[in-house]
Amino acid sequence: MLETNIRIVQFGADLRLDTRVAEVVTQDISADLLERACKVLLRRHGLPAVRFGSNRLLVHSRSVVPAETLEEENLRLELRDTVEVRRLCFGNRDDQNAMAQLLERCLIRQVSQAGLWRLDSYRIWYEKNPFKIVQDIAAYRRYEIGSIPIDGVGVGIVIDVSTAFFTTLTVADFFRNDVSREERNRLRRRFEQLTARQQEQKGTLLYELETGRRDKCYFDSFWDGVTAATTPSVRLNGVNYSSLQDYYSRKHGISVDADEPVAKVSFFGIDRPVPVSARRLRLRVMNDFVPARLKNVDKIEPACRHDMIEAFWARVGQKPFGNSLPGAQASFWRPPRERILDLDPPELVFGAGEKLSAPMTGTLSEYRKYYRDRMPLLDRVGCFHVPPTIPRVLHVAVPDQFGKNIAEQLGEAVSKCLARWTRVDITPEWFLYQTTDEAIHRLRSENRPGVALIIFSDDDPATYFRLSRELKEWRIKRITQATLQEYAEQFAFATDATSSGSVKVVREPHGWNSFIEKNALDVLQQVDCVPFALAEQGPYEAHLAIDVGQDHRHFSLSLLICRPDSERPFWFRSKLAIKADPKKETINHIHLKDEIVKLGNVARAAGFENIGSFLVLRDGRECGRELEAINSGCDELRSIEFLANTARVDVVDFHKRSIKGIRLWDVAPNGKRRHALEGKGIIVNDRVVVFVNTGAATLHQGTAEPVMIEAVTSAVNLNAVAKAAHASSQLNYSSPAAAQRLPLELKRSDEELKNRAAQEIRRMR
Amino acid sequence: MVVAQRQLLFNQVYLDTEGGSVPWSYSRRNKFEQCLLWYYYSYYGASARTALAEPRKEELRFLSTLQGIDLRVGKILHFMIEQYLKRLKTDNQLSADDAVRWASNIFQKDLNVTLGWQRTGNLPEDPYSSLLLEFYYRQPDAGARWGQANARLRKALTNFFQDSALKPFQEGASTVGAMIERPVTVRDSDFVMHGKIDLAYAENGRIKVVDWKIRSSGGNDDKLQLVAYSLPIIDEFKCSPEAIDVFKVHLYDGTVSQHSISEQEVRRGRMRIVQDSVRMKALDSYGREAVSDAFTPCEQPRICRMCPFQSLCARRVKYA
Repeated sequence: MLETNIRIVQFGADLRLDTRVAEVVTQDISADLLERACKVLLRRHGLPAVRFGSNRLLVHSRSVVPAETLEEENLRLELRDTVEVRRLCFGNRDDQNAMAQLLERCLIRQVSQAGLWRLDSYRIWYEKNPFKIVQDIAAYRRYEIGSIPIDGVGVGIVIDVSTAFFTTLTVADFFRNDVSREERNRLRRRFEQLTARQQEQKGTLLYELETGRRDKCYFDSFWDGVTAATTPSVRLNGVNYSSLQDYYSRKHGISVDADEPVAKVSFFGIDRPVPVSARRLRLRVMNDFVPARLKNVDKIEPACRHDMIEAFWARVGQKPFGNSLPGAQASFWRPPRERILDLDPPELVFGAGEKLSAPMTGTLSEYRKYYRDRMPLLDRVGCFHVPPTIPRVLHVAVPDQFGKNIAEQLGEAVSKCLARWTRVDITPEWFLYQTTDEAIHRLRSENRPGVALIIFSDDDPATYFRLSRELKEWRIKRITQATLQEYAEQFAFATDATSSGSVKVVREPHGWNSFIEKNALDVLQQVDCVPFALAEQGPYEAHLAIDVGQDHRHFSLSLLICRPDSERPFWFRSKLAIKADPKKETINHIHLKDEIVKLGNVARAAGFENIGSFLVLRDGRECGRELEAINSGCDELRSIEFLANTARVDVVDFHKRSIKGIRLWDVAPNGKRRHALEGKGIIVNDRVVVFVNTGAATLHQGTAEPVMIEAVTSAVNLNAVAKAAHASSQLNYSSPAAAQRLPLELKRSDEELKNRAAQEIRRMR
Repeated sequence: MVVAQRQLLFNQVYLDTEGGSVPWSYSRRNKFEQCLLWYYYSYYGASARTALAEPRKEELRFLSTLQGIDLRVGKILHFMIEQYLKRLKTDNQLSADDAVRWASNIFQKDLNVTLGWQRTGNLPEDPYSSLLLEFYYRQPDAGARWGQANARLRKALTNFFQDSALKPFQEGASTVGAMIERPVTVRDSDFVMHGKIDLAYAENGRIKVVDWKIRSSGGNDDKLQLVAYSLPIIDEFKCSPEAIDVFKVHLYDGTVSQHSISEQEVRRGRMRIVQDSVRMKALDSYGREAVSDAFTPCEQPRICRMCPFQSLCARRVKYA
């Protein structure tokens, strides 16, 4: 039986909620300003409120909403009660979202009194103390609060649990000067490593004051030689302070030592770095940098997750939304059969038309076999499609320090895999290089661009960018020096007595074969090979994924065409484009439309026409004028006959992680909680579905992270969309034996954006 | 005509796209990062040579001549220092008093013509005067800002002449080969960079580069700006980055900060400039074809209040 981490608010679909209407008066009113007004009411008066229309709020209050004013340099906002009372009914569809949000905020109000702390988001709350400390890293549990209206069921409150890591040392500790030179250097190196500043990250910090205030900020610099008493005067919100020490004393009532070290940090909403006490800053640590003994503490199994969330509910008590409101149901929501999605995995086709059958009976062992058999089948029959122009040479550029034996092993091993899967002889040509210039020069001196495996340090984005730019005609697979180093250290070679001068491998590193296989699979994709494809026609002939990079500086489009019954059954292309305005998530509508049309033109030139059904997946939330751009782009794609005139175009938002923090698991007849099978999901309403692409067959740690799909255009068949997305998630070319969370088109977009982001030089200050 | 002359004097707008790449300058890059619509209006919409289909061309050209108070005093300061330094070795030297008086007169004249325009709607006849943006848009604190800027200008110029710590720079300006307010261009295989060097000269085997700042010290060190100074100097003086000393002279409080730059930082800076150029190039055809919708407005009050084109921006954020 499927179970979720959702609890339904009592009275379910019959729930009613009385609210008062407040009015917000300000210049240029916007959704952001209304949200700020909601936060003011919650913070100053403990009153949960949500946006209502263009300039009003719904406030959960029995009495008059207190008048409030918010004043800043360029803003004045007034909030006042309108005397209007409004009863929200869950039966009224227009009220559902507001009710869910209001109850979520009611819960947040209670949680804020439960001994937890938060950073920038009201929805994420941390345990007071770490549950584990290893070396200088402390692990904290945190709870994410969400809500979702479920049609015919009621308001669902979602609690998820995860882990965050912070250093135990403060920034002042990392910049100590009263230790030996050696220790000082070690601390600085550790700081650089944990902040990933070499990789252009700024370093996220937790700023904690004795008053209990906590904020998120970003490291700018350590102010060497300056102390809290000797900083220049500080001006904040129109008030002058003679020094940082004076600021803490007058503004926060905190006594700070005169000689306390100072760091400059950036806060959201303040346009330049400001000085703060370095002893009140700790580093937020990304999972990549935590010690081995902490690596798995964030992998929480379904049973354990269930217990932790249950304990959280117990902590907020019988009246989690406040005394005047109903509580939550005592157990987690188990969706009835009619609300369960059960997505069938597709049959896959490999080289020579060999097929891998889809599981028929839905047993776990059958699913496991479905994934396990992919690599052996690829080995046996080869790729579904190999372009006739596939390069016959694999160039391998290895830094001098690794030596020729390693370079030779790497080149030979990867080429051998490629030859096996493509049925084409691919010769490795390796060389050692000392400088990036030398590697670039060597490759550019080749007659024609080809495919290269390049080992280089990932520390410097400038090098990566330069390589990509100078070798833009090349297909490049990058391996970091640090990764190869791990294997290189374990290799042992000996001179082969039977053959003069040649060297044989005495000891091969543990995991070498899977390392080679993984990289060879990546190279295989670089050269446009298709290891396997879908054997049956899915609900859509083409999928277009649109994704924006995390830094908002690029966006990516990926087009997957899958028409198994046609002469060209499979085609895939990805395209990266500049997103000129990095301040906004939304893509400019002119640029988006043009890039969609360009990609359609490429597909049209490749011979694809009259596509009858087209699914557009916007990663995250479609916003601004993007829908208009997609529609006008599709009109143009019809005019060039890439799309049929009658083509059905469905547009959905695809949330890589369920934004509400929803989790699903299976409850066995004996009550034991375990992973759900791949393809299980829930129908939240006729606009939203949530499902897992990873699950019991290949997941061994943690709990599956579902994806969420939300319809944007009207009359979208979400069952068909989920089926299509689940099917293309089976195109797990990078790791065929393990289920893949994302559909191929979104995974590739995501990877391209991450690769490009790794080349971006951000920190020139 | 008046508009064109004024642009020539104080408002260099780089229009050429030499070999297909969009010319990079530090200020152009900043505008691109701050607000794309402002960037479009500045480099395409208001240009006489490109974006010919722009329907509001004349209005944009007029608005592009508006100058913010802070920008204007910075330009007057640089103009005065240039006049002083260039005349050092001539018979027509400029005295401190004359320079301060001259600068104040220019700035006062700007105020007068702007107030005159407010009263009568007549544009200034004098091509060397500027309409001040804050008054044009009737910002409530315009008068106070003008007064503060005027005091700042006088104090900065006075410091320039009287502060003995600055004498070595004035002496350096007199050396053979010194660059004074010199426009520079760097042509790389991947980009074309334009800029202006306030002052640079060779001394004891090192190259001194001076950047005059009207404000007091305390801002951030921007390595990209240092790279922008260094690249033309490396070309001009045939030196390594390590041989360059950059001095930021904050004339308001007389603080001088010295900066150096490494080979690696120059390499990173070059790549950043290439990345910027690629980004600008991606929008270039839209600009040339006057597709202003392809340039998203920033909607940030702090930036909107400095923008000369704010009256044309439907999505501008009101600031007061």
